[in-house]
Amino acid sequence: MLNDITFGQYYPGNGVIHKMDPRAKILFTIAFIVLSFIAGNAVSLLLVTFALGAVILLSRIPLKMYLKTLKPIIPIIILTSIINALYVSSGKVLVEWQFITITSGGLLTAVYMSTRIALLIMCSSMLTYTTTPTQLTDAIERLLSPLKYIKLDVHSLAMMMTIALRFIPTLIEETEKIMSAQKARGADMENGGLLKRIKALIPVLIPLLISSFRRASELADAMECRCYHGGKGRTRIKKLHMGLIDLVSLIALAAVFVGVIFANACLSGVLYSLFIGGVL
Amino acid sequence: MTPILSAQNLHFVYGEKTPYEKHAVTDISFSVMPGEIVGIIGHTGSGKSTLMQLLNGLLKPHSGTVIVDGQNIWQDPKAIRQYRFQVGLVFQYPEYQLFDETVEKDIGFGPKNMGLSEEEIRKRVLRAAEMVEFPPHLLPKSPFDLSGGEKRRAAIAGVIAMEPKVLILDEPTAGLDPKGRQTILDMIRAYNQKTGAAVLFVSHNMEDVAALSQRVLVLSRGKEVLFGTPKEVFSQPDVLQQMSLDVPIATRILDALSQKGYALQKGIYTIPDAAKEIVRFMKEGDRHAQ
Amino acid sequence: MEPIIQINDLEFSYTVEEDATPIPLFQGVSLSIEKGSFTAILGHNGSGKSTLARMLNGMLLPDGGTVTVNGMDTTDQDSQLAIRKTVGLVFQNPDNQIVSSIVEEDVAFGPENLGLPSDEIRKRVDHALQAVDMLSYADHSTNRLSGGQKQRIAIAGVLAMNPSCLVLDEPTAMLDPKGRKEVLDTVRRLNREQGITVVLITHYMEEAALADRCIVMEHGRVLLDGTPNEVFAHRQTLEQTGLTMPAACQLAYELQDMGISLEPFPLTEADCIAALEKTLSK
Repeated sequence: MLNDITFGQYYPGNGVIHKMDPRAKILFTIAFIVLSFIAGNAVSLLLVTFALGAVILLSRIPLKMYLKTLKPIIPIIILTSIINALYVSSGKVLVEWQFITITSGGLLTAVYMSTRIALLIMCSSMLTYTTTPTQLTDAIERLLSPLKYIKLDVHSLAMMMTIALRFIPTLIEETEKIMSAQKARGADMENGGLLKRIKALIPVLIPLLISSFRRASELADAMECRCYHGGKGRTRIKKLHMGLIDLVSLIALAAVFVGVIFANACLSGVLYSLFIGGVL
Repeated sequence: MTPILSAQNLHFVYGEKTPYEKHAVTDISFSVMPGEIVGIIGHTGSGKSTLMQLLNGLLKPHSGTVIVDGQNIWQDPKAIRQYRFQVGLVFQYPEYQLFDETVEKDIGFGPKNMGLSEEEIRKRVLRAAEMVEFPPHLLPKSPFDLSGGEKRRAAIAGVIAMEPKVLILDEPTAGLDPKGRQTILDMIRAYNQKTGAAVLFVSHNMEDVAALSQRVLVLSRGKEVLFGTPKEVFSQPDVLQQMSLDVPIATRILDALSQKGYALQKGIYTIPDAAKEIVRFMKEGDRHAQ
Repeated sequence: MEPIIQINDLEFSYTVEEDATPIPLFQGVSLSIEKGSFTAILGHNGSGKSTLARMLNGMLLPDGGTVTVNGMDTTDQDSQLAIRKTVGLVFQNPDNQIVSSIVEEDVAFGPENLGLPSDEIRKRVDHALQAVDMLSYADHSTNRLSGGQKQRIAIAGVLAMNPSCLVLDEPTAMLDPKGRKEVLDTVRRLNREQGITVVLITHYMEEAALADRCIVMEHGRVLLDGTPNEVFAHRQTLEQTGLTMPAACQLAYELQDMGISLEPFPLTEADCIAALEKTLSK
């Protein structure tokens, strides 16, 4: 049920991807997603897919773990595919029935779009699987650090993210428990109109809120007892530094980038006519 | 006498057909007679919590039936809510589920969900508060202003107010100080005697189980291992210890002495009885030992 | 022996609601905790045990009198970090004191706040995890651990600051028997093998029987103070306050009432069996 959320799940490992600098990983993930959207034809998209495939292989995390993250978004993929297939009209007309027209261009766009969404999801899971939440927030803290010049408390923001990631599973578990307990007293949360259902949530939300406040205050005490006094003078167990791996991956990324641009520019016309003409 | 609650071949699986599939409850059958107190023991993950939620219909068994007062509770899934009123379930740390403006309203939440009249709700709240020895002058207060022990009692009153035929409590004394523990245990016994309702309670404390229960159900890895009187259960300390479960200390001490060759009686589980047995042994030697 | 914590004429009041008159809790409590000792503090909820625990590392400050840690006054702002580093506090609910989702990153939280270099933090984290027997869980998620494991991680998190004293506020109250044993064994080992001073606040008399010294508190006063043997000899006082006794003691007292006295008077199960054997073999 609620526990199935795999958000922010870390998969312990020792591969090269695990060892990369989390800042580099965040930037590369963004670059990768941008790339998959720039990729305008089959060749360039295949190039991006192969590149991600290589990264997945290097991450030494079973492919099954990546495919699992795709499961919840299958409906989204199907929906966007249908919309694309129906609304994009270019190339040959394949099916024409009443108001429905499916063209080869529409079908192609649907395939591209689905691939991009899948790439996006797998790429971000790669980031969360190989990077601990603390490393992630740490990296975000460093990447955003220039913002402190506009008086933004970047450290506190990052600390809040760490704590939020830590407490999400705890609070989900607690919500389930409170819901069961109120149901045991006859609370009816499944039936009735919207208003009735919202009202039925009060016996769940109030204890949850109070418990969160209690947890927050106890956690604050515990943090203070462990000498927490803000971000000043704080060091980290894992120093962040860009190393050889990061340099190599930068070069690899640049190569993929060039490849995609090249494929986009030179091959798009040729391929398109080949594909459309050849298949149909 | 017919049982008030009976479980027949209960099976429950979490995350069926996923890699996380876990058999939480496997083939559990037992019956509870009206007015009986049953202690449930088993370590964390033994299926106790799942079993409790199966008994009041919060969870639906994958197979097997739960029968309350002669009725199969899943006969009509739409009517399942009414069995939650008949089998009251007090969760662990129930004080964390208090929510209403006043203690009175909070205790009245269950009766209100039963659709009772205002007058009847009020009566039940007062009865339940009296049962848990909750001071009436605190009823108009916010539940969040109470002390820890008072909160726990108010929360238990919230389930008792539904006047269930069977009351199930999950570790009702967890986290309380010795005085608080004793109050809750006395209260459970008094409730059972006054109303004649059957009580099932889960505890890690073998002394409490020994002192309170007429029968003891021992669970391990979702399976029923032993079910019998405390004497029957605690006379098999090796079975319990194999599952890394505790035995009452009185049993442990007498058992250790038996193993050293002193023929003391088996199945003694309270301190006073242990003392009597030691005195008997010293007077009579092992003539009458079994 | 040299005291690590010295409490002199401690006074403290608390307020339930704002603007209400403060309710006095401590009115002139004096205590000293010796280096390397294992002290158990017993008492009911509201007896002031938890408040006392929070005074030992300056989380709460006295209204009158002084609390000093290694000679440092807890009211001295400049010594605040040094005091918290010396006296580590572990709380009841393990869930609410774990900051990070990964075991080793959580244990590193304290030393990170102390501004130590990375390799020193790494050393301390490994050492602390080793001390609580959780090293193999270093890269695990903190959410999937059992209660006893979580509480050991919380202890490791405090140990990583290299404290000389560990104050534990009912660390086993929310744990099952297995978890309780894990935590208690860990605490005893740290006291014996690493010479860490332990102050254990507990409701469990069996745990108190293992300490060198027991302090029973009631209404903010020290009611009894002595070795477990001395304290559990006050049968009536303990029964009046509603505190139970270790089961071994209960059995010994029960036998005493029937005219059989056990020598030496047992506090633990093992002692009780030994004493009974001696009596029976006569």
